[in-house]
Amino acid sequence: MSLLAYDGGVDDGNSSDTEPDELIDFTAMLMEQRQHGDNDGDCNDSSSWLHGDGDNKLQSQSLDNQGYCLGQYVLGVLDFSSQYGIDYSISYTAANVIGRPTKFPAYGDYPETFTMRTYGDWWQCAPSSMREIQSQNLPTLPTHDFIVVYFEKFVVPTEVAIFETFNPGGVVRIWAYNITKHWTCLWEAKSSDMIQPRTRSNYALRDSRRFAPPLKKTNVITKTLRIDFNHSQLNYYTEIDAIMLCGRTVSMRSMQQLIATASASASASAGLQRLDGGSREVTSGGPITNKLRTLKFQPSCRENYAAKLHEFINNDLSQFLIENNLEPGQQLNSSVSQTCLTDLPFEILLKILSYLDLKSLFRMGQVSRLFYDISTHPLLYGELSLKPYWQLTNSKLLCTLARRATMLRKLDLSWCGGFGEVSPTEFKKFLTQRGDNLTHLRLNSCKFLNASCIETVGIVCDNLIELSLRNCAIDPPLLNFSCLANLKNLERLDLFQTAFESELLLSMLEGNRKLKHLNLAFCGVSVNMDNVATHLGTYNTQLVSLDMWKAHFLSARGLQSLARCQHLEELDLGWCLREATLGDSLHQLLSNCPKLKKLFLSAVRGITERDLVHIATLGKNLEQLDLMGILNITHERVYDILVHCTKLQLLDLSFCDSIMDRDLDVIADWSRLFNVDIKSSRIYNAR
Amino acid sequence: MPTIKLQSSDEEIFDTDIQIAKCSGTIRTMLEDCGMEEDENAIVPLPNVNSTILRKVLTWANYHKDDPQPTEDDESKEKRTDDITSWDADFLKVDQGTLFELILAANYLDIKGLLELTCKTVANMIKGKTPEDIRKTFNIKKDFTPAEEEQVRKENEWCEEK
Repeated sequence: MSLLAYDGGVDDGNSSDTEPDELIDFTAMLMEQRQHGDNDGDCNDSSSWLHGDGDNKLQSQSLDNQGYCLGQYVLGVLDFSSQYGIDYSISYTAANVIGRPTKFPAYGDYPETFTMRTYGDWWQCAPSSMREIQSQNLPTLPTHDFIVVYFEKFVVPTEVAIFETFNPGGVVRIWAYNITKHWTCLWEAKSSDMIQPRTRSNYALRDSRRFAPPLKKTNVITKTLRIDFNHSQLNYYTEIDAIMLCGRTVSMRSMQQLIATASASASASAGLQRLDGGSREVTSGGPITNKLRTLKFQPSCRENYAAKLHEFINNDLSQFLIENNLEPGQQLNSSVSQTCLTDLPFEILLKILSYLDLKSLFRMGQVSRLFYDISTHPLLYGELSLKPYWQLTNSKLLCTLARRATMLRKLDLSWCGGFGEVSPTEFKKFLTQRGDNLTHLRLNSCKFLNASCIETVGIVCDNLIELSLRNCAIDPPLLNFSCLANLKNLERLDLFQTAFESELLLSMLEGNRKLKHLNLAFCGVSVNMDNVATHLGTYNTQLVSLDMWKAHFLSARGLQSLARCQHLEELDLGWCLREATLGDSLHQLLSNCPKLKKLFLSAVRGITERDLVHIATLGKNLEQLDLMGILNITHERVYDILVHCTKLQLLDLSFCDSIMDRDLDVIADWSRLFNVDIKSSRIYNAR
Repeated sequence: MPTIKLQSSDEEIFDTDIQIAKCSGTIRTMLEDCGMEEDENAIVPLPNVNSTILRKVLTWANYHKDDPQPTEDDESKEKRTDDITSWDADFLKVDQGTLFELILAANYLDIKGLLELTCKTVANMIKGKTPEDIRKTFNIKKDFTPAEEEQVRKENEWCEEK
């Protein structure tokens, strides 16, 4: 993953001059193109995607020098929040969205697609789930996962098509990174757009889908898209085969012009802001004058009309209202006696503002002096999450917030600061000023982080209870973080998809005895999980949840050590025991950890019939059980588990090949009878 | 069901079910501290609430009498404002003056649920609006000096529509 692919294009664009005449021509050209597209819709045509020329591009009609209509498939992946597969594998990874669809229009569970880590609300229901920081900032359909992809050529987008080949319906937003370095939302789902969860009795066969929602009309020039996903309504993993960006190409010269237009109009509007009121000359004027002009309201008094209007309001308005039967007396009286917002005491206004999202809070500060004072009160900045504003966050905002957030406890900067919007220096400055009281810090997928930033976290934020550093995997690994060894109060450490050094992790485990939640999913091949498990069993016996999804070198020995963590409620061992023989270790774990609510054993091939009996007899509190890919489970064992694990809600039996096709109907019936959501693509497809 | 008498600022008496009256922390404390619970004829004066508002408050309290007591744990509470039930939303279809007086009454009477609901309602009236719209909605005067206004505008640049 690299950001270089993008930067090149912009730098080319920045170094240019422009002539005003050309700007106008370009705008006109764009309008013409858009109209053209509206009229014949040549590249919006739903069948055009079918005609390919073998390349990642589909060319149609050329329009002289004004660019041509182009359909492109993904050239590369810049960033993603999670994937089901592991980087060096080719199965279920983000890189599978590159190029033309490989499976579409087939429907089914294919490793050749991009799949994310979660579906439904199962992860939110699990013991390891986290409360969102400053949740009032969240939109109605929050983003759970995202992928950022780039294409070869800059275009003005007319269509974005997402090829969904399994459990479609997760896409909630499509963003375009404009050549002027802003993100523009091209489309956003409404709650009513989301596919409703299927009732468990509805096993209808699903179809793949080429999802191309109507885009907002813009003149954005882009070759970089971000797709946001919300999994809450999904029945199982969603799978994305390909993404296509359609639009009209633009010449490099036009792009340079557009950049110049954008900067020119920015400075022009800044200039306009400084102009005060509308008494200068007839061609300018404030918003009221302009409005009056559009209404063709032309008062006879040509000169001094502002003063005359003022006079009219002061002296004659009430008379005017009376003459027009508008009962001003009554209205005036009631508005005088009525309680106003500003009559409420300070602490109530503070309470009202505490319900505002950060954007609304800032806008409230623009209303008046009183509300500026209230809206900047430190009590309103105890929790800050800029994750929902990842596209707006920059160094300047951090600087403003550092002044206000003197009582900051919880900070979430996940997803922020891409494309250099936040500088490491500004981040470090912010932490140095406000980091010492921080108890929660989330920096997932923060592209600005460097080793020095992590060092600052370790030095300054020594009160941290929670530290989340998901997706901080870059080459070379950033987290040699010996500096983090300073942290001693951690109860949660999340290193999902982040590479780090074994030795550091072991010393952190030793130093943080109160650790309750640890996520080491996808942590890379350099960490020996048996050693980690031994440490956990020795120093971290308070552990509640542990995610080792796709971790390496865990064996029966490690599992035995984990059995010493008697408070375990959640354990994800998916893909990390592989072919290992488990011996008595799973039995020990189950008997020592009676609180287990969630147990994921995806593709743990060493599980025996005896282990499955133990799960049934000892897993009294199990709510979620994943046995995906376990080869020797039969329908008898499934029945056993359903009967004994009375709290069970989710059971994944995908790719359990010993379950005969003839048993699938019976299992589907059990699903209803025991009210357990049983997952298996074969069960649903069998109908 | 035992009742007590509540007296509004304009001296109207409200015979009220004691369980409903007790959703007000203020009244609950008064009853407990002054041992008024046994006295059938005792009158609780509420000099800060007029009869119109008190009637509204009691209607709300009657509808919500079986709600669980809100917990004190403010820290972990969700600050979302999209969880207002349709009954509550209908109940608060009132003019601004009444809404603000309900807030003051809920504050004075210490009724957490009603205070939260009314404050959220006002927050929803602010959310997503431009500063000028907010000024219009609540009839607030802009009193910044040009320099202050420029300063605030600069701080807010990040959330301007692009």
